[in-house]
Parts: sequence; C-alpha cells; structure tokens
Amino acid sequence: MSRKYMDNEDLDGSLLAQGPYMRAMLKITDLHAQIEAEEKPIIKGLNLEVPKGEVHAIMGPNGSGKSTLSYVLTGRPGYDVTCGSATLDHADLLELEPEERALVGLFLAFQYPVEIPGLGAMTFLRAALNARRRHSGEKELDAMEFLRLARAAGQSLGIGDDMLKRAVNVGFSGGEKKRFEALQMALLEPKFAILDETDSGLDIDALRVVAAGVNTLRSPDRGFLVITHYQRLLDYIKPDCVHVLHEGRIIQSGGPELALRLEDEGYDQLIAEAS
Amino acid sequence: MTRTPTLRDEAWRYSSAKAIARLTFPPERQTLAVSSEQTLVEVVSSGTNGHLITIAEGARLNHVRIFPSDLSSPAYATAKVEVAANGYYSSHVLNLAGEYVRNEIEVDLVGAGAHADLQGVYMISDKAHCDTMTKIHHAVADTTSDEVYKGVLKGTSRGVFQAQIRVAPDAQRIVGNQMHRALMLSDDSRVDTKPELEIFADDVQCSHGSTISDLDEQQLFYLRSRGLPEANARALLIRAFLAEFLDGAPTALEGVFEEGVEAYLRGL
Repeated sequence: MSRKYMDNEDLDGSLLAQGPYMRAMLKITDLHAQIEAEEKPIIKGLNLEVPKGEVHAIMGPNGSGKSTLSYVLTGRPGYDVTCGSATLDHADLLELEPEERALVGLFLAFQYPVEIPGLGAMTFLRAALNARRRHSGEKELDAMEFLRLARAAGQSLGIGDDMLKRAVNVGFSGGEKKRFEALQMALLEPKFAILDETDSGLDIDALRVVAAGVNTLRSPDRGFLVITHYQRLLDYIKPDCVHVLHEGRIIQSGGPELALRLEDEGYDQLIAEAS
Repeated sequence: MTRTPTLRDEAWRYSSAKAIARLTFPPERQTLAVSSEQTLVEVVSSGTNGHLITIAEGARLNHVRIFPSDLSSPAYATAKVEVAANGYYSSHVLNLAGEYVRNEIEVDLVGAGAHADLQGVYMISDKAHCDTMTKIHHAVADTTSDEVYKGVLKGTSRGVFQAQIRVAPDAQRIVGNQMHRALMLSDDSRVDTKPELEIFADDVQCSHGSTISDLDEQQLFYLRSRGLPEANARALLIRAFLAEFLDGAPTALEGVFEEGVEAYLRGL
C-alpha cells in the first residue's frame, strides 16, 4: 500500500474533515464485499478517495475485484457488503437503492450494456432524464424537447436518429453500445461516473470517440473512476491518479506513470513487490 | 367438440369444470367467407362464441379477438379457419378479462402459399384463467405459419397454452414457428404449456419454444442504475415484453391494447 493511503487510514474522522481529504467526492473506507450466492469475499478492505474534478484509474488483473467494486458502489443486487462504507459527497451510498444512488449523481458506464428488446432507446433515455429532472424539481421534457436535446448530444458521439430509433442496445455493435453509454452519461450529467472497462470490445476509432465524449464531460465539479485492465484507455483519458487493485485491495497508488510501468512490467512484478 | 367436454378430454384438461358447465356445446358458428381483404373485430361476450371462416385464394383476413376486462362470466371463443392458396390469416387475440376465458383457433392451410400468423397477449390477475388452444394444420406443401403468444400473470391467475402444429404426409417445404412466453410476476400464478408438433413429412422447418420467467434482473438493474424507480422500471420492461404484439396489428387494436396495458400496470 502506498504512503498516501497508509496515512489516510491512520487519520480519524475529525482530521479528515480538516485536511485536503475534505474535498473527497467519492470516499470508500475499509470496504469488504462478497457475492451473495457464493459467500466468497471479493473486496477485502478497500480504501479510496477521489476528489472533485479528478479522474482516478483502477487497474488490476482479471479477478482482482474491479467489476465487483463498480457493482457494489452502484447497488447491483447479488452482492453483500459485509463491512466498511462508501459515500458520494455526503450521501451514504450503501444505504440507498440503485435508483437513489443515480439520483444523488452516481453513474455507471457498464462493461456489458444490457439489451432490452422492445424498449426504444429514446423512450428509455427520456424516462431516465425525466426521472432525474423530477428529482431535482425541474420540468419534465416532452418528446420534442427531448429529441432536440438527444440529437445534439448524440452528434458529437456519432449517434444518429437510426440508432436512437432502435431498441436499447439491441443489435448495437460493441462500439455503438459504449457510445450509447457515453450518450447516457452526457444527458444525465452525473456528479460522479464510473467507467467499467469502457475499452473492452472497442477498436481504436471507437475508443477515441468514446474517450473524447468522456473528456468533454471532465469538469472541476465532476469526478471519474476509470476501471481498466489495459493502459491503452489511459492514453485517451488521462488520469490524475492510478491505483492498482489486487485481490480486493489497492496495493499501490501513484501518478499516470504507474500505468506505464504496469504496461512494461506487467502486474506480476508489482504484486510481488507489494507482498 | 359436439358434446360437452370434460377435464378428461386432452384439449380441455387444463380447463375449469365450473366454467365448462356455464358454456354451451356444441358451439353455434357464424359463417364468414372472405374473398378479398377484410378485418373482423370480435369483442367476445360471456358464453360460447363460434366462427366458421373460409379465406379464398389470395384473400386476407385480419382477425382481432378481444376478451374485454368487463366480462362477468366465463367466455369461450372458437374459430375454424380454412385458408386457400396464397391466402393469409392474421389473428391478434387480446385477453384482458378477469374471468375464465377459452381462446380457440383451428387453422387449416389447404392451398400452396397459404399463411397463418397467430399473435396473442394475455394480461391476467387474481383468479383469471386464460386457456388458449390453437391448431395449425399444414394440409398441403408450401404453407407457412408463425405463432407468438405472450402472457403476463399476477395474483393466482393461470395461463394455459396448448398449441399444435400438424404437417400432413408429404406436405413438404413447410415453415412453422411457434413461441409462447410467460412473465410470471407472482409466486402463486401458474402456467401450463404444451407445444405439440406432429410432422409426417421430411422437408420441414418447424420450431417451438416456451419460456417462463420473472422480469430480467440485469435489465431491471440497468434501468434503476439510470435513476428510474423500481416500479417505473418494471412497468417499462413489461411494456417492452409485450411491444411486438402491435407490429402489423390493425390500428383498431392499438387503443384497446394501450388502455389494457395502462390498467394492468396501475394494478401492479
């Protein structure tokens, strides 16, 4: 574990509140989680803080708990949190239903976006945006108002009317699915977005488009957690900080150079050093 | 059936003896000869309703059968349909009733190029019982059929789907597809499904499938993760499940279907 995070663990709540960590937007403390059906621990004491305006990357080998972390944070059924906490600003994520987590500003770009035959993409997007607007006391958008908005947002992601007319993710290519995730993110304007292996199944052109979509959403008020197996994605979405996840814990943290080192040396060496 | 059936008759074994006692047998059948393109909208009333339909060469019937939500006692609707060469029988059955309902369709495809398209949706609750029995007989070569029935069940409701595809000896180059999908929203609902393929020819593509499930957890989570409250997400998924029913349906059906779905979702 790196110095920074060791120190962090040693601080008590009152000190945290005074220090630079007050800026932490997403704060995960000693998180333990398991798959409900198997009672097999996956996340084993994870600590992480992502300040407002920053992009943090989590890298790790297969089976290290990357996707489980994204599901536990967003409240997917089937996972048990046995210990620890996770907050977004001051909302206790683990106490909230998945939809409530979304409404306090959390967004997950899925590794495998789900196909929903029979549900039109536009109907889905408008229902999601209007749920958000209802929550924040804004007027709901009618079909025409929404269409204008969706078209404008879709344009920069190369999403045209033909795609918006199809059913959610049905018949979408790998690239189209990830662009559609990026479109949802652009429309919902979350406070904090988790990108779960957004690069999987993407060719380099699609990766550029999606990364550009993410980069335009970077802002001092928004945080990102980018989960990836490969360094490649981080060439396009430059992180402020890189964490290495292994067996459910963060074993090292550093700057963008850590990702480059991983690309050169592989995970094994780093894991050996950490243990 | 000419006499009153009993639960020992295979075709009626998933029925209700109490309901049968309130129906009349044999059904009296109105005849209808279709010689061009025609739409028949049948709003079923309580008791026994029968049709005997012939579709002439190249003609088409769009048959809409609705079991309305206000049926107050058991209803039985049966149709025998004969389709000549290049004729087309399109059927859309919508069941919104809270009663025992028997939906019966027998189609004989008797000329090359004849096609039957059977679509059905039932949305039932409480003690409703939807008993569907279809038979498609490919009597000659080069005939095709498609059948998709979908049901949504809650409470202690019961759905029955018995569907037969029969291909006559030497009726070659047949395509016959059959599918039944049920969405069970309660633990106490029940579905009996019995697909039956009787094939006496060898150059035939026939399929049947049956699925029974609750709403898909992954789809539900995907929608909720976008901020949609669970009830809202469930309603969207039920609508999505039923959506294809309106594809190619006569426009007369749209309003009734929409109202039916709305009412059903309100009761969730």
